[in-house]
Amino acid sequence: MKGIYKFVAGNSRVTPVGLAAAVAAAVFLRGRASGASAAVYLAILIGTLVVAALEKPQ
Amino acid sequence: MSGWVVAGTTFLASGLEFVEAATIVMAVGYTQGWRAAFGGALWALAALAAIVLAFGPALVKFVPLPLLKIVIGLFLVLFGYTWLRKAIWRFAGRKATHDENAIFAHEVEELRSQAHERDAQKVGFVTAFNGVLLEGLEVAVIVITFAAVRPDAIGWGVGGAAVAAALVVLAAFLLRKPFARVPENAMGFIVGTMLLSFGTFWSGDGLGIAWWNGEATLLWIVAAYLAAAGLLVALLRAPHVAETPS
Repeated sequence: MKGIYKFVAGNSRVTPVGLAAAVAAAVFLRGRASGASAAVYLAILIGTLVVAALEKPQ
Repeated sequence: MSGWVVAGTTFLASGLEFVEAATIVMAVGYTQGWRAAFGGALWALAALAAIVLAFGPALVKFVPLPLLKIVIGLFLVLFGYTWLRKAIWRFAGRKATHDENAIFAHEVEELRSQAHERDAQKVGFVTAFNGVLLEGLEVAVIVITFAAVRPDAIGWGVGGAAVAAALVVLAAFLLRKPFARVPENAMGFIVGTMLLSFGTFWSGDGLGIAWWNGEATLLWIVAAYLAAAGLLVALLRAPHVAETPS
């Protein structure tokens, strides 16, 4: 299980959470503000990259 | 989406992974014999081809495309994060760069300590098999995902990966030493950016997001990730930070 997690997520604690948040935001916004959903989705994913890069290198 | 972009991404990903696999295979060749080294490597390549052929068409046939785009896109995003942040750390000096010479020396030392064992040939075969299979597995997954979302791109994806593998094998045969000068980190940086960008675009598409300019938005996504990654390298570059071994 640990090996699979390392293979898929590179042992990051942040990326699965960021990804889940981006998906939730996209699903929430698509019916309400479809124009903004793309920008919000991309912004959350880029924000996740920033936070993941600030994690301790492993 | 241009087939060349798919081919370029799988070419770089495959090249990078097979450079690492070649180091292991060469270490096996020099210590346990080339028969075990080539045997293990060839069986692993056959296993990887079988994985691609078994899962690629099956995914397309049995899973609906929108669901496939979401699942595969999210997988690519996770892979992309792993590749890109590792490259960012290395460019920023926060993680030691991949040293193929050091890895080769370590593998040789480890294999020599097992050379006296009766089943040394078997150990060499298994080491080469595992090395190629594990390094190639991520490439196989990337090729399958490209093929699943865009079946018309399977030839480009497989072609890019196969050309890179062939070039690495040829170079290994000619040079007969580890590839210490391959710009592995720059390759990892590009692959990570492309995986993240494709994954973002496809998963968003599957989730029902209307991208501003259709497929052309992919270029904007690539530019946005490149800008963010470049800024992160500049931000994290600190000479006093201790290096973490790879």
